[in-house]
This record gives sequence, structure tokens and C-alpha cells, in this order.
Amino acid sequence: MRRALPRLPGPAPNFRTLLFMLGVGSIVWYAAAISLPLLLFAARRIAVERQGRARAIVIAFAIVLSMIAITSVIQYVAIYRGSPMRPGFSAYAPQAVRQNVLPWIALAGIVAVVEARRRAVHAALDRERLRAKVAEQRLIALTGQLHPHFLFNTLQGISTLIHRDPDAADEMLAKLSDLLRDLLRHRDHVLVPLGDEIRYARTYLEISQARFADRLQFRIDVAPALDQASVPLFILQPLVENALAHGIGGRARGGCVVVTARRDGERLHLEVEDDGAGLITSTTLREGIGLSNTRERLRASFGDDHGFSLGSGADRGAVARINIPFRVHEPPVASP
Amino acid sequence: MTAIRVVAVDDEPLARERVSTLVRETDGLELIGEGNNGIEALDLIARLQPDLVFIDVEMPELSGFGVIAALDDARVPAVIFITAFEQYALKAFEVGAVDYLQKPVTRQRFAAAVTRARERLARRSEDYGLTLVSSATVAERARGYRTRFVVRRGNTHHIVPADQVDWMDVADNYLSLHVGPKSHLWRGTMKQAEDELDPDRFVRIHRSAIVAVDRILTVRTHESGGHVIEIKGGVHLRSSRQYTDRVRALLR
Repeated sequence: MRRALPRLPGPAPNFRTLLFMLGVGSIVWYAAAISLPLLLFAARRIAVERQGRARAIVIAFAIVLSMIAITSVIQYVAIYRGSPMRPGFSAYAPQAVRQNVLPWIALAGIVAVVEARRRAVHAALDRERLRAKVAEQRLIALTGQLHPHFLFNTLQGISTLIHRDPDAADEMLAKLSDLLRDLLRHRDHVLVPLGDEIRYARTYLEISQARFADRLQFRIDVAPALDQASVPLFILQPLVENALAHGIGGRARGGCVVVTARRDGERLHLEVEDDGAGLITSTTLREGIGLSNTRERLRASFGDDHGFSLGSGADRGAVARINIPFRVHEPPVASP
Repeated sequence: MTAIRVVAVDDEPLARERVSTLVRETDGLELIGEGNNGIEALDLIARLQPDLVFIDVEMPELSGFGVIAALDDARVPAVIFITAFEQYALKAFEVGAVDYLQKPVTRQRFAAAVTRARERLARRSEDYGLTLVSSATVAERARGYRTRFVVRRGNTHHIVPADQVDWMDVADNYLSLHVGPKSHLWRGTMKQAEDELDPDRFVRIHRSAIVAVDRILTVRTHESGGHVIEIKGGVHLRSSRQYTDRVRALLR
């Protein structure tokens, strides 16, 4: 058997009596609940950095005022709609505004706190992201260096020379040490003076020259005045490695690599050219991991304010060209 | 006892010299040739038919695996791979090499590898060549899409870069690689070429034809249900109905 539900006494309430039962004074809270997401969204859109503090305050104030006005109107309509005792709105308004000011200001306060907190978390995240990006850049720069292939072939070369020409073995060992020292010295840097980059490239090429016996020639053409230009760490070396791999490797007659840097107004131009097989025959090989890293790292340091291209050389071979803004290198401030 | 005839190949002369010196210093080994790259290796192996080859895995153009994969399996020497990378060293074992040596090569390690080579040469199994060639093919394939073909004319080999090939078709037991007005015979099958080439750049249009996608000029529907494909140089090729889907995918 099912028990019948007890009936409510009296006539069924219509909408208006329901409103009264719930309390007309609470209209402000209903309005607040409904508009809260909108208010939070609005708070998010007010960018203090872009619009200035004064303007942001004016906007917030305007929103609070209009919410007070809107609630007052709703209250007025809800209470007096169709009522014969209806006072004029201007007579009712001061009372309604008095009732609504406090709740809306309190609400604005809550929204402000929530938004401030969100922004703080956001800013912390941004900082973290930036830090991670810098660390990643460094990692990319370092992992792009001293390919195991280079390292172990150099060691094998030294092992050869030890038996045949101990002095030459010494020299190659010293150069490899220079390279490793530079690598360790710079592992915490993102930008370095061009002079350091050139020195690294020169040592790398000298070692390669020994590895490839007489098959490699190279030239470095950089005005000493550019030594202090600021460049991303190890920006040249992957290009040099690429030129070696495709310009020299596998070719019985060998080849030549030319590294140049020049300043043109506010731009710094870097070029690495080889006279190898060029772009046509081995397109799939030419843009390896090293070069996509280069592209990524240039973007991280200079945004769109850089150029990077791989083209055909003067008569054969390929040339990698980079142009970046010319800036004088500032030594990083030593951390305490 | 006749000496074991050895060929050493590395693209870096200084690195190769270490191996060559060790070969010369070892009794019972005779250095009969040295190569600077994969193609020279193939020429030397075809011409001199050595018993044992020391070969660097990581060489530009044609890797050590690529060299072995291009060998005629009836005449495969014992192979010792030399590598700077651990990852290749492990693969070298998988491909049935006698041994592998890591750079820098020590005298001791070299001697151990030579001992293994002697044992291998003394009791050489029938299918040794086939195993080595086919597993080198697999190892080479694992390194990425095929970017070159090694073609042989007598005892000389040369490379036909895959991106120079306009189209290819079957010619007896070979594939005919068409490069402009010239063509080269490559020992391989349609299936192998299809599997090994980058599918974004080459498409099989017929049981016996593959074309380079960027050489295609026009594609017309034929009343038979297939297509007629015109490629640069005025060549018209029929595509059969079976391969229509692939041609359609191209048009999209």
C-alpha cells in the first residue's frame, strides 16, 4: 500500500507569493549567483597591465554600480508589479540601493580575491614555463654538441697517432680538451660572445681536419671587431657539423668549409658554406635534428626577428645563413 | 695456413689507420685493401673477394649495414663492424656479424674479434651469407626510409639517390630505375622498393611500376577503370584498377 502525501494547506502559491515567501530581499543573492560566472569572466578580461590601474578601477566600479541598479529595478518590479500601492521608482530607489550596495561590494571583493589568486598562480606558472624553456634551450644547445660519433672517432684518431706520431697525438688530445672545457664552461649560458663560438668552431674544424687527413680545408672569415657580438650558445657548430657531414664525408677528394660573420647595420650575418654535393642529391639528409634545433633556438632567442635558410652554394655545395639582431654581449651577472 | 685476406673501410682515414695497423701487426692477416666509403667498400669486396671485412657502420651516403645489404649473398665475407655508437653495436650482433668493435679499438679487443673471425671462417655455415645480407637489410631499413639505391655494373658500384628517380618498373629479376633519359638496374623487388621508400614520395601505381609523386604531371581516368599517369619527360604510365585507391589518395 502506498501512503498518500500530505497536502499543503491553503491555496497553491502563485509566482509572486512564492517570491515573497523566499524573500524579496534575497533577489540580490539570486542575481549574484547567476551573474557570478559572468563577473569572474569580466574580471579576467580586465588586463591591468594593458589598460592601466585607473581604468581598471573605473571599469570595476561601473560594473558594480550597474549591478546595483539592475537588482534595484528587478526588486521594484517584483514587489510592485501590478500593485495599486506602487510608489514612484525614484522614491523607492534610495532604499533599494541601500539594501544592495553592501552585497554587491562584498561580491566584488570576493571576485577580486579569486581573480588575484588566479593571476598569481598564472604568473608563477609563466615564470616556471620560462625557466623550463631556458633550461630546455640550454639542453638542446648542449646535446647538439659533441656528437658521440665525433667524440669516439676523435679518440680513435688519437689512438692511431699515439703509435705513429706521439706529438700529433698530444696536439689532438689538447684540442679535444679545449673543446670539452668550452663545453663545460658554457653549459649554464644561453648567449655567448661570437669570439667564443668562433674559437669552438675553429677547434672543431682543426680536429676534423686531422680526422679526415688532407681531405678537409677550411677558412674562418670574421672581423675581430665582431668578437663581442652576442649569439646563442653553439649556434654555429651544428651548421659546421652539417657542412662537414655533407660537404666532406664520403667524398674521396675532400672539400672546403667556409665560416663567415659580418655586420650589416643592426644585423649580424653568419654563414657556413661547403662545396659538397649540395642540396639536390641529398635533401632528405640535409635538414637533420641539428638544424631543426637551430631553428627552434633562434626562435626562442629572437622570436620572429631572425632569418635562417639553407641554400645552394656559389657554384656547388650548400650554404646555411643566419641573420640575427646585432647586440654587444653583456657578461651574465654572477649569481651570489 | 693461408693468410686471411682483409679489407678495412672507414670514411675517416685516421680512424681507419688504427684498424689497418692492427691488421698488419697480426700474424695470419693480410691487408689487401682500404676503402673510404661504402661504394669503395662494395667495389673492393667485388674485386678482391676478401675473407674478412672491417667496416665502420656510421658512414655518410652508404652505411656499413647498407654495404652488406647490397652484397650478393653468395659472396659475403665475414664482417666485423666498427662503431662509435653503442646502439649500432648491438644491432651489428643481430645482423649476424662475426663481432663488433667500439672506438677507440684496443689491441686486446681486436685480437678477440680476429679469433672469432677465424673460427667463423673455419666452419662456415651454408646460409651465413643469406642471413647476414637479409638481416643487414632489416637493420638498414630500421634507420629510416631508403634514400639511395646501390647499382652495380661489373665490379663497380654507384649510388642512385632515390630523389633522382622519376619512376621504376620491373625488368626480369631487377628493377629498372628511370632517371631522366637514363635507367639503372637495381637488384631488388617491387615489394621491397615499395616497403622501403617513403610512401609520401613514391607511389605504386601498378603491379610492376612505382612513380615519384612530385614527377606526376597529369592523371586521367581511363575507360578501363584505371588511370593514365603522365610524368615529366612525356612518359605515360597505366595504373591498374587494383592500385586506383593509391592514385586517388594522390589527387586529394
